[in-house]
Amino acid sequence: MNDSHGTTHESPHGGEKADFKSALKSLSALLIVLGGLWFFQNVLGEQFQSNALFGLGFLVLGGIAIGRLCVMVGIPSLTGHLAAGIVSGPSFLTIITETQVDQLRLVNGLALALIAMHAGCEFTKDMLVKNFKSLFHCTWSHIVFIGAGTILAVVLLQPYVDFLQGFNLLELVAIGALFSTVAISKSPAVVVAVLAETRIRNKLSDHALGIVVILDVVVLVLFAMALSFAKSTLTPGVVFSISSLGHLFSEILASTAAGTFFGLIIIFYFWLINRQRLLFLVAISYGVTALCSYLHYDTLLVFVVAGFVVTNFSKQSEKMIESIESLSSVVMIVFFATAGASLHIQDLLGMWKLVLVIFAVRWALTWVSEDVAHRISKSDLALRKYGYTPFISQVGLSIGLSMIIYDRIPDVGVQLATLGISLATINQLFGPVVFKWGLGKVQEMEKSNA
Amino acid sequence: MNALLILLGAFSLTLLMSNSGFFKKAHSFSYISIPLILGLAFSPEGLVPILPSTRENLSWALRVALTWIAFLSGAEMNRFSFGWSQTKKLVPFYAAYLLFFGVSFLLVGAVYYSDNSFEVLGVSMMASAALFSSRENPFLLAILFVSLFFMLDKGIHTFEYKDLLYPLAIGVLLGVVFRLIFPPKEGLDTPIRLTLLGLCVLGTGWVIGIGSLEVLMGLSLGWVTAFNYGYGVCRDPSLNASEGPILLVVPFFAGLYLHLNSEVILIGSALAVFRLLIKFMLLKTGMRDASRSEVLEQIIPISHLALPITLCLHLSGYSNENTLFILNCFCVGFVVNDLFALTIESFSRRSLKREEEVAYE
Repeated sequence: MNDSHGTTHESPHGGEKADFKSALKSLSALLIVLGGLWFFQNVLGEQFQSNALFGLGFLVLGGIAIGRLCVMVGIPSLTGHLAAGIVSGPSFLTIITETQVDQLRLVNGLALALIAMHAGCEFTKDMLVKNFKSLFHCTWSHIVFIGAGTILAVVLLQPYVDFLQGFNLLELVAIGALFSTVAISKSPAVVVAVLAETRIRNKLSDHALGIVVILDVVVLVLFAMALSFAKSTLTPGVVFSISSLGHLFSEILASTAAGTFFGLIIIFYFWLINRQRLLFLVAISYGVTALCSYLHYDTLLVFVVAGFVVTNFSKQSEKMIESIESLSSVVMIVFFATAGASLHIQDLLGMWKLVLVIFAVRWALTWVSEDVAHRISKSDLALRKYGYTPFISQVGLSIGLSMIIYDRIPDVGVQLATLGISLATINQLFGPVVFKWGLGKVQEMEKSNA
Repeated sequence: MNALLILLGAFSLTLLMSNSGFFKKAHSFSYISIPLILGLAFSPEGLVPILPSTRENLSWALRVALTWIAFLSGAEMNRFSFGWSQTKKLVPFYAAYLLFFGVSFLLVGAVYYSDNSFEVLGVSMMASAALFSSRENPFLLAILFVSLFFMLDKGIHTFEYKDLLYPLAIGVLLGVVFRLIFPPKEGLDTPIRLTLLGLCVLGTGWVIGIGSLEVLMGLSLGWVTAFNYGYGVCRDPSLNASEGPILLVVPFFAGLYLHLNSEVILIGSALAVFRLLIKFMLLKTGMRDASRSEVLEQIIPISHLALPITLCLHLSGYSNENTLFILNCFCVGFVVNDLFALTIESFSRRSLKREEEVAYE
């Protein structure tokens, strides 16, 4: 991943090299396990009590098999990992139950830490200076266009949506504002995973990494404001207050400081000890995640800053990226497969018409905001045409925000959360495919220009 | 989060211990004893007790670690040949084991009260098999599994032939699965090793799901993988290096489950003394020829697989007061044996140094 622009390499688990034979072998391996389980239960008549360990191992195997199958037909392997999770999860085969999905979330802490550190390692001072204009314009255009567009869509869709009936215009704006923050949120995990798999580095990859990390922080601020506004509008007796913003800013500052500190610790360890690097990364990932949860820091920001410090203030980034990549290969399979297993397919099917409309609106607004921003910042044609492709995906953050809406907003919160999670589900299925396609197109354009 | 922090503590301890220069020098001393004693300090009856619920929350990590050690041992077993010379070499060893078993039966029978004499026989057979095993000959542990058939029917489950057969079959099945996913290579890179770990996790979950012993699955998976890969897996240095951290995490958790009393300490220590006496008797009578390094590195140290197996027995569905007694006796014997080993090695080194000085003069 740290290669010169426009290069591709083989990736772990046969990312680029998966052929028909290896895909077929992996699939037969999966079928052997399923057949073995069936034989145990139905022919030998033995009782089998499914458990989280079995689920974890099955997700690894299923993720590899379906991932290789996807790569063979040109789809990112992470879509295969998601598919493996969806198929084996509570929505379909129920090999993995809802409780086991919850137990497997322990892996998420490690995966998110690795993703964030990897993203941070990709940020160089040069890259930020070079892309400052486009990053700045894209950030505000995403907020303005997707934010305003979603509010407008909520207002216009009111006559056709049951749960929006009976609200006045101000209340509808409040609901729209809250939902717009979910719509603005992106998926740093998908961006990092697709880049790690394809090993493509070009203008689009730099742009994607920059925007997802910046918007991740900005969305938290916007969400706090929108939540306060929605609560004051929808709940009688609650007054709009911006005091929570003060807390939020102090938390962001503290997260940055903590990230710098942990970055220095990583540099120190890699420079002085440089042994058992994978074990050290696992330990620091879980340790810092536990600390962030206790102190209410933004975990993603802490790890991004740590990665940034390692890359820009030491010579240890190569070792760190190498360790992260080798550890990520399997951790990411589990992470995305677990994400797939926790997707609510039934909810999606329940409101598919509305979800499809919102999906189309969000896609169009993302395209408009990217196009406008790149025209203003006079970016390349490639970025103007395909700049929107990394930002279709949504996963962890949008689901997290939806769950907060579910908890905090009475009445309409349940439906809004279901809509948000359903939207994330559909975006997660299409997003990685679109991003991989966009990366390829930009690479082609860069090659032809050269 | 408490459980997670304890796990992190165990990992940090691992890092510290495996990089400690002092223990690297001692070949006969297995540094397993130190995390074992540390674990005992954190046990519910220890100096810094942790809640049993916290311990149970971590049991998944422990069970995967147990399987992984069994996997590595299974791969290592692929190295052993079963020729006539090997059998001849093993005869005195098994004869000595019979003697040791007799002593164990008398000791356990004198102290351990049970209505069922078969149970006493089983407990002494299992404890003696675990303690008498050595690094050079882990096959003795098979006795430990065989004795499960009729000695431990007090637990939730009764041990049957299928409990022996099914985990072995699952291990073979997963070995084939691994062979299908990754064709044999010279070495194993980190993603392949992690996938292998994933398969171990799958197998562990599967075996736990059918209520059997996961270490058996680990052993057969390791053997089949080593067989498929033409023994390449066993030589992979980074794969073998992964044994180190887990060897320290497992004894730490074994310590958490210990429940010591004077009877256990007495039997465990006595068995360790008899073990050493019988082993030296084998050497002195010439029934077993061995160099100084073989004695220190292969004969005196107890097999690394014995602790995971006894712990696995206690965590499985066959768990009862007998399995706890075996685990307790074994752990005490293990620590005492390590102390003996350290003493013998330091004397041996001193005499070697003296011989060198005399030769130099």
